[in-house]
Amino acid sequence: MAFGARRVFPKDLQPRVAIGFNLPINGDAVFTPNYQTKDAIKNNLINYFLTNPGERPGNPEFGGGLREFIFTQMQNNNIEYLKDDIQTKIEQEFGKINLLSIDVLSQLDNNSIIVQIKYNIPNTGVNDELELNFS
Amino acid sequence: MAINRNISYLNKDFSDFRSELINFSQTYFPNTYTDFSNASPGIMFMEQASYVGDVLSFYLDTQVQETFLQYAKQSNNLYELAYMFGINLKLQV
Repeated sequence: MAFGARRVFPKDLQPRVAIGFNLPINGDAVFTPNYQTKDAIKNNLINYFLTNPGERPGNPEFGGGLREFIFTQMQNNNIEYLKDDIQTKIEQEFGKINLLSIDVLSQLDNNSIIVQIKYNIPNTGVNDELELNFS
Repeated sequence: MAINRNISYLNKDFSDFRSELINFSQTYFPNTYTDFSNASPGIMFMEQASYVGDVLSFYLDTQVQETFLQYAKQSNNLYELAYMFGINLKLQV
């Protein structure tokens, strides 16, 4: 009888093999390593969206560039554009993750935008959520 | 006691430094860092180091170039090199 086989990243099974390190870089040992691919992907997403295009030397197109939206007028079509922009960028840069939903919550009184990204990694059963708060 | 590591001294530009740093990490620190995707924070640090290496290589090449009479571009260096070979040039104002 067939069953839904779940794939596991081989490095996740090796407890002493670190994958990346966590953001922000403010731990006791400066770099706090992470040992699960799920955590590495989340930190890569944070790194991508907190980078503005043009900040990385030698790679000027890299970056989510969400900060540029902070000083734009908040309107419904802007938020729709922001959603489309995030979706396109994730599909381009993170081809191996599957986007479930993107919610952009604007709090006009606090001058802040909250971006919630829900995603999963196909065939692994890994579901995760990222929340970025720009204020 | 110093540890012998295989370091390439032939890389000169940004992409060479970047790939060599990735190779170095994979060879000597296989369990410390394994995420070499474009978006990972570790690659950001490697690219910054590559950028510094690229700029330093450029200045090094420029300085070496200025020591050869055939290739020097700055006028004061050309005058100094000519003086070294016994030619006393007068500046015309």
